[in-house]
Parts: sequence; structure tokens; C-alpha cells
Amino acid sequence: MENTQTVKTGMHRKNVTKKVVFVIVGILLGLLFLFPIVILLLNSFKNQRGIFMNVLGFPDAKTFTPNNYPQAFKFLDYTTSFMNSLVITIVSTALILLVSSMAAWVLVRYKTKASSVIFLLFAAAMLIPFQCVMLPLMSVGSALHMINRVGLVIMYVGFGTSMSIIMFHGFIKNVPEELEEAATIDGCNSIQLFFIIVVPLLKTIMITVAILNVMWIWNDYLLPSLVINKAGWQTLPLKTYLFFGQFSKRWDLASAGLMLCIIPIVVFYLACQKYIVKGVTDGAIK
Amino acid sequence: MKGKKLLALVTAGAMCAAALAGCGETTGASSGAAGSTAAGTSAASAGGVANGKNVSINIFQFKVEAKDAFQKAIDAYQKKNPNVKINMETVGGGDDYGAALKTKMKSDPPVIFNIGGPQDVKDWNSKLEDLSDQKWISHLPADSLADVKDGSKVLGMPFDLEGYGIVINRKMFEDAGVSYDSMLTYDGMKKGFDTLKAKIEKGDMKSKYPQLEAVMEYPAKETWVIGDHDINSTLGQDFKNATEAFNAKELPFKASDGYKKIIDFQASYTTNAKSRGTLNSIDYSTSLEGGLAIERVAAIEQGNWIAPSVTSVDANVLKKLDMLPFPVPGFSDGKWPVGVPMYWAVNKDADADKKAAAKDFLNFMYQSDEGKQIIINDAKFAVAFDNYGSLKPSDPLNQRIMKAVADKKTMPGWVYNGAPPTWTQKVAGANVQKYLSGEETWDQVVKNCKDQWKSMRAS
Amino acid sequence: MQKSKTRFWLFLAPALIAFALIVLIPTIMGFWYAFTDWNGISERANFVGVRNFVTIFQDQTFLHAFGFTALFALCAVVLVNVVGFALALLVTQAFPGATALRGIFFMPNLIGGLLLGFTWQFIFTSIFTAIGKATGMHFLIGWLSNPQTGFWGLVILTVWQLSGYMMIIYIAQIQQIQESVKEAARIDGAGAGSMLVHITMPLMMPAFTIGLFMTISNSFKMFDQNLALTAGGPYRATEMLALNIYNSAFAENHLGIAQAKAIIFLIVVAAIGITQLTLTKRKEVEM
Repeated sequence: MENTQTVKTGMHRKNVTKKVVFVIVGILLGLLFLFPIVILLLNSFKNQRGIFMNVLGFPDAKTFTPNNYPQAFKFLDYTTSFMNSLVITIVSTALILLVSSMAAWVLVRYKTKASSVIFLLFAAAMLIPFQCVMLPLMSVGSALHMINRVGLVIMYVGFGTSMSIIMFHGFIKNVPEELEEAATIDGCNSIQLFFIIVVPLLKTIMITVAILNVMWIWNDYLLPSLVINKAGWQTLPLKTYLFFGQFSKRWDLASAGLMLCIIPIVVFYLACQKYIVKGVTDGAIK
Repeated sequence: MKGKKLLALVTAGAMCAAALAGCGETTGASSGAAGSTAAGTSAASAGGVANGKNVSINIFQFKVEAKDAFQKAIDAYQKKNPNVKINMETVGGGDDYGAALKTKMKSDPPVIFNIGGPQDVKDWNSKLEDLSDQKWISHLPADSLADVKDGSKVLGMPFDLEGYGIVINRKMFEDAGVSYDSMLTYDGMKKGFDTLKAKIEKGDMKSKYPQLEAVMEYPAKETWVIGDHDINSTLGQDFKNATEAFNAKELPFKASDGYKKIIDFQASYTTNAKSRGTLNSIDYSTSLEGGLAIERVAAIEQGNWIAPSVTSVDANVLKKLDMLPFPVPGFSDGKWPVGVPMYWAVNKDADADKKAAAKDFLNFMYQSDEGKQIIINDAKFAVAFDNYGSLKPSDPLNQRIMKAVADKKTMPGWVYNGAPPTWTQKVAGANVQKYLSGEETWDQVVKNCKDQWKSMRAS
Repeated sequence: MQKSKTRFWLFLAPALIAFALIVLIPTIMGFWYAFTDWNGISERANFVGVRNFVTIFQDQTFLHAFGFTALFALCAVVLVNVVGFALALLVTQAFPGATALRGIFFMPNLIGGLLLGFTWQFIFTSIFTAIGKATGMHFLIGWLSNPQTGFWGLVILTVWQLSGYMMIIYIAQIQQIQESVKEAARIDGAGAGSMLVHITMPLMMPAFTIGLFMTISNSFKMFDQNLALTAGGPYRATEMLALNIYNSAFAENHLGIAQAKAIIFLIVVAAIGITQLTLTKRKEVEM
């Protein structure tokens, strides 16, 4: 045993040290990033008095309560709100991915004046604070009968394309064009070319863009608060905000409620991560 | 192979998306249809009810704390009037109702909504239905409607009655040998607070109140506390009500010394008495849930609206509380600022039968026996109406306000609603923060407040 | 290759239509309000010419918000991208727990609005004070109560929240270039340091272009974090542009003035953003 280890090359030992350093740095940084979320988690098991007596401490006999979760679950009308959030998030993200990747692809491949102007227009739109367009947007929305869930999805697509196109644009630039040229010679039409040749090359960026959009839409409060006007249509963030009143803020229920909102998206993220890592290894083998 | 699989995935995804989008549309449509059929059946079942025309109205309101109570009233009303369908939306998150309402009016105008003082009445005037023919008006004292009157028109219905002052932990003061009655004036209060302060510093209170740190907390981060409320009694010396303030081109600021005194007073009893700038980071929660409600401090300037918050932390503490008058020394000793902060309004542009239903519902909620029960016991409001009989709010803070009203020991509580928009918070409040941090002298605060009032009125 | 114009517009159409409807038209409508005295409520809006633009350049709060936001953006853009890139480099190394760390660094993005502000307020006001008292480091006491600590509080919060977001973007790029290029470089015998500077960094330029642009835009239009952490206080000293515009529109009921501010804001930030895009794009190498 010892022999085999000493036989191992210096290179390998260096790698082990490097890994140990990475792990230590990773743990320290991880704690720093997790700290507020851990506080949130701890407080979700305390009663309101416990939170305000000692926000940092572990729950003790006097302050521990498991009841925040069932209460928050009921208050949020969790199953319904979850489904509302889920449908809106999935549909919006899928549409954003589709229309943005299509647009970004032609914007990269056509080096015309129109193409660069349109790209800049999309980019510039990212600089507009939402609060500046919300009043006129609601006038437009009302005129077009978009004050409902379908309208909300369309609005997400409108707002989501800018960032997504920029992301796809940056990525596609690094994708060699030869493959597409070859396929065109083989007689692919535009649609085939895009879906058969281009899309498979975009899978890592697709997932990245999907993550960013899912996260934004899942957590968004302001837009649904303006557009959703029927009880039973509300998304999770809309319901979560009802823990906060004019003069009374239920941090105990809100912390539990927030954990309930975070969990699905963490699961989603971890699932995507697996896929990204797998995708990369696939790519390497190919 | 891979390419094909992915293509299949993507197309499946796209189709799925399309299907879902279509699905969304159909659900929307079908739920609408379902809604109308349901309404249809209920109308049929309620065939006997006169003018049984189907009406649906929507309410857009700001009071998260009372939303369950309002829903209870809605359910009760709908049971009695099956042809009326009421959909209530509540704006969560705190205090951006004004922005939400403006946007809402663009997209999906509500039939019933909330308005504040004279500025709102002016801004929303074209949308406000005249309610002066409503029966409930005869049960209100005239001054409760002063700020929503436009000539002979009454444009709003009082939401509730609120009052504020120095909320104290009465039990704690009594344990320190200070009686409630000895603190009804500024001087008396100062004496009592000094006594408690000395006992806290000596450690005499430690055994009974282990959390107790200081007599007061002062959330100077909240400009609605240091601006709106703290300046109100001062404005009350210049103007009789919000409307008078609203019409004033200039601010006399007669009692500006009193304003300074009450600020200095509150700051001096906090743990940050020697580093007052730090108070600018203390927020409402730290002072209330993390202060008064856990007995870390013995007093804060607040109102009857804190009862639900205190209960959520410790219901026992609520029982120990009481409210002292809000003293502007030399001006308002022994009086509580009380008034109507918000009103219900009915949208003038709505259809006639919607407006009728809306008025009928509001009347039901505040004037029927069932509604009164809900307003007092579920919403836990104090009200200005004189026909609530023996129905009385149960907590000590609301009771103190009701007693002050009965004893005529009140002063107008919402005069600040008549100041130029944002003046109280963004001018008075911000300048007080500068004063606390030592950036400005008091004379500068007074000068800025007066100058800004004038220039905001001019623009 | 023959490229048809039809294909260009066909593929662009869905995105362009949604974008025009939801973003472009409302923005242009907003521009029109900038020349009126509309209060956001009444049916009528009177044309007032450039009066609103004259007013806003005399508005001290707006000028202050502009300066404050620019300074904030400078600090935030540098720190967020440095930290984000460092995190991306770290988690793309092979070591146990690297994947879990990706999730962890990214988690701050999942808490928004009020809860974020609340938690950090506790950290700054309670924890910092406790540490300050225990160690005698007095600069840790009284955070958020003055403009300086308010500023750094916002920067810290932003770095904590956004660097994970940028990390995601940088990971995507690193992975795209990693396998193929690095293998080649390793065979050529390049060391880790020179590989980072000469191989990875130049190939990362497209991602830096995006990352910088996104942090610039996010920092300039920051709203939620500003409202939740300091709400512009004390005495409006930490009020950033978006909040200032929002206050004009919805608290002061001067929608025309708010829109005029928004136009100035957009012109300045677009100039900065587009300059950055052109500068960094020049350094991009296409594969």
C-alpha cells in the first residue's frame, strides 16, 4: 500500500493538495453564501417571539414550533398557487427559449445593418427599469385584453427576450458555422437546419438561460401583482406578500412560506446541474 | 442519434408549450363560462329576490390585516344576495397601495377602492361617486367626513378609527412605582420615564424583566413615524384639519419647538441616546416586535393598529399595554390624535347596478348587525359610527382610543394628510434624520421644512 | 452560403412582436408623457414642452441619486464580476462538492424583496454591532444609519446576490471552451496561470461582454434591494435612480417628470452600456 502511494507521481500529490485547498475554500465561501438562508431556515422553526428575541440563535424549547409550515402551507393555498406558478413559469420559459434562440441565431448569422440595430435595441431594453413602463404597459395590456394569465405569459416573453437573446447571441458566436453550411448543401430547409443542427449545439446555454428565466419568473412579484386579478389565479410570490401587512408583518409564517417557495426551485436547479455536467461529459466523448 | 433525440425533445417541448398556452386560454374561457353558469344557477335559485340581476363587483383594498374579516363579510353578503358576486383583491407587502391603485385603474378598474385625505380626493375626484345619500352618514360625527367632502358631496366612507400616542407597558411602569395617571402631561411623563430609566440603570428591573434595556425605542428609519405622526400634532396647532392644511400656501410652524422637544424626548430614552445618528437605522419591527412586544423597551410612539402585531409575538404583553396622550409640550397635553386615516370609495364610472351593489355591500359591512360583529370582533377596528351599541373592541389600546373619543379628549390625527405630497416624509422626516445624525441644526430643519412647503405648493 | 431575407425576418418575428408590444410601445408611450404634466391618474395630460426636463436638472434629489447610482454601479460591477468569475473558476475545477457549491452560490438569487432586506438588516444592524462590540472594531457599529454604511451595505448585498448569477453565465462559457482548448494547451505544456491569462480569459470575452453589460444594467436600475435595505434613507442619501423615479411617479404624482427622468437615465446608461459592448466586443475572438 505505502509503496504504491510513494510510487505515485509528484503531479498527483500536487493535485491532491490542490483539491484539499479547493474544498476548504469552497466550504468557507459556501458558508458565507448560505448564511442568510440558514438564518431563514432556523427562523422558520421559531415562533414570532423567538425570531425577535434572538434572530440568529437556534430555536430552543420556548421558541421552537413546527406549526409555521402547516400554517404557511394552508395560508399560501400551496397546491393551487404552486400549480399556477408552475404553469406560468414553464410555459413562459419554454416560449422565451424558443423565440429567443431563433432570433439570436439569425441575428448572429446575418451580419447586416438591420441585424445589429435590432440586437442593440434588444440590449438597450435591458436598461429600462420596469417601474418606468408599468403604467403605459397596463394601458396596452388592457386595450389588448391581456390582463389575464395568457397576457402574463406574453408579457414575460416580451421582457424575457432581451436578456435571453443577448445570452444566446454571445454563445452562438462561438459556434462554428461550417456545420450549418454543410447541412444547407445537404438540402436542409431553414426550420430543419435550426432544429436539427443548431438547437442540439445550444443545449448548455439553453439550460443556463432556462435557469435564469425560471428563477426570475418563479420569484417575480410586481408583474403578476398587476396582471393577476382573480382569486385562485395567484402565484406563490403574490400569496407570500400577504404575510406582510401595513402594520403587521408575520415573519414566522413568511420564513416558512419562503422556504416552501425556494424548495421547488432548488430541486429544479439541481436537476439541471446534473444535466449540464452530463452534457459536458457527453460533449467531451464526442 | 443524439441530434434526433434532442430535436424530439425540443419539438415536444415547443408543442407542450403551445398546448399549455392553448390550455391556459381554454381554462380562462371555460372558467369564465363556468362562472357565468354558476351565477346563472344561483340567480335562478334566488328567483324570488327582487332585482335579481347578476352583478359582479371587485374590491381593491390595502389592509392585509383585515382581509380575512372582509372576506367573511363578503361571504355573508353573498349568501344573502346570491346574485351579487364580490371579488376582493388585497395589496400585500406594506405601503405601495397608491402606486398599485394607479396601475389598477389603467388595467382593470375596481368598483370599490381606498383613498386617503384631501390630496387623494383631489387626484381621484373624477372617479369618486357621491355617497351623500347614504344612510350611514347620519351615524357619523361631522368631523370624521371633513376630509372627504367636496361641497355637499361625500366622497368616501370611513374605513376605521385610528389613534396614536405613547404606547406604554403600563404594568412595567407600575412595577417601577409610576402610575398611569401621573403621566398624562409632558412633565408628568418625563418624571415617570426618568424614574423608570434610573431603575433600569440600577438593575432593579432585571429580575422581573430580563430583556429590558431602555425606556424607549425610536424607529427614526421610518419616516412615517418621525415625519407623519410626530409632526402631526405640531401641524395641528397651525391647521384645524387636513383640508385646511391642504389649502395653505405657507406653513406657520407655530409649534416647531414642541416638535423638537418630542423628538429629543424620544431619542433621549433609547439605548442610542448618546449616538442618536444610529437611530436612523432602527425600523418599525425592531421597535415593535423586537422592542415593545418582547419587553426590551417600555414605551414607543405608536397607535391602536399595533395590537395584531403584539398578539402575534406575545398576547400577554398586549394586556399590559396602555396609551398615553401625545404631548407637544405647551400645546396638546392630555390629548390623543385620533382620526380616519383611509376611506372606502365607489368608482363613479362603474355601471349603475354595480355601484348600487357596492353601496349596499358597504352599508351591510358597517351597519348590519352581522357586519358590525365582523368589523369589531374579526377586523378588530375601532369605528366612528355612533350606533354600535355595546359592541366594543377588546384590546386596551382600542379601548383607550374609544374612551378618548367619548371624553372628547382628542385632536385631529391626520392633519398631515393635507401637507404637500411627500412633504411629511421626504422633507420633515428626512430633515429630522439629518438633525439626529448631527448634519443639521434644528434651525435649519425648521427653515427647510417651511421653504419646501412653500415651493412644493408653488409648483 | 445563400441566406434568404425571409428566414431572417421569419425567425426574428415572434421575439420582435412580443418585444414591440410589451417593451417598445409602452416605452415610447412613456416618452410622450415626459412632455406632459400628467399625474398618472387624470384622463387629461397637457403638453408642456421641455418644462419637465428643466425641472429635473434643478432637482437636487435626482442629481444626487444619479451620482450615488453611478458610484454604486462602478463598485458593484467590478466586485460582482471579479467574484462571479472567481466562483465560476472554482466550481468548474474537479473536486468533491463542486457541484453542490454551484447551487449554494446561486441560492441568494432565490430570496427576493422584503425578506432579503429584512435578513440583511439584521445582519448589518445586529450582527455587525455584536461583532463590533466584541472585538472593538468600531466601524462595524451603526451600519445603515449613515450614507457611507448605507452605500457599502448595498454593495455587499449586491455582490452577495449577483455574483452567483454571473457565475452561472461564466460557467456556461468556461464549459464551452474548457475541454477542447485546454486539452490542446495542456499538451503544449502551458501552466495553470498562463493558461488562465492567455487561453481562458481571451476566450471568455463574449461572456465578459454579457456579464459586464448585465451587471451595469442591473446596478443602474436596482430597485428591490434599495427599497428593502435602506428605502433610500437616511435622508434620501442612499436613494438610487429607479427609486427616485418611482417616487416622482407614484408618491409625488408627477408622472411627466418621472418619465423625463427616465429618458435622461436611459440615454446616459445606454451610452455607457453601448460603449462597454463595443469596447469589450473588440477584444472578442471568434472561434
